[in-house]
Amino acid sequence: MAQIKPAAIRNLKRTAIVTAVFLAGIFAASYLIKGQGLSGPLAYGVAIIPGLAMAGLFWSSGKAIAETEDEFMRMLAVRQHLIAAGFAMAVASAWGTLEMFDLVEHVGAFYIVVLWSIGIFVGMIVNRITHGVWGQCP
Amino acid sequence: MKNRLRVLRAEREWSQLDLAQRLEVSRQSVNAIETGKYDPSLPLAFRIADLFGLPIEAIFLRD
Repeated sequence: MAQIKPAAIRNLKRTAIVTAVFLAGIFAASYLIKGQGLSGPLAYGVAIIPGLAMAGLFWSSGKAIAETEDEFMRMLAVRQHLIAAGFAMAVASAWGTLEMFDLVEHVGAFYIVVLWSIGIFVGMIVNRITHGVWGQCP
Repeated sequence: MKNRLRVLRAEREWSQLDLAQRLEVSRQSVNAIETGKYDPSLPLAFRIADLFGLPIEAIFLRD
């Protein structure tokens, strides 16, 4: 059975923590702002928590790359993340121009994270095709 | 860049996993280097050369 590397375990823990903070932030913001009518600076403070959690996800992802000791696997991870960033920005740019001319519905900017996540899997497929290895699953 | 890694490994009857463990890299790394899909960094190339007791230019060849 394949052994899970310590760096992968650390990344899983970090991802679990930021996901928990994200979910807690979403629930807290929904309850306090939409349910209880919280406003003012405190509302901004609560509403930014899920966003900061997502920033933590990107930090965790970058740290996982830095902690990958195998240089070939690290190179694959870097390629994967470049593809993900390119994919997310390309789709967001195209959608933005279509939206500018009222040809598509408005979509929240936070969906870029979803696009990036899809891009990570696109990167895995590209790695498999070009280098015969999927690379790392986020 | 071409290399003689597969030949050198076969001479010693090592599997890709054996070589990977000796180099402390993944088996996928060894496979990627052998098939020319990945050129190792200079530090890793030196580790490979040291393991086989050969100079780098006896393992990695110019295209």
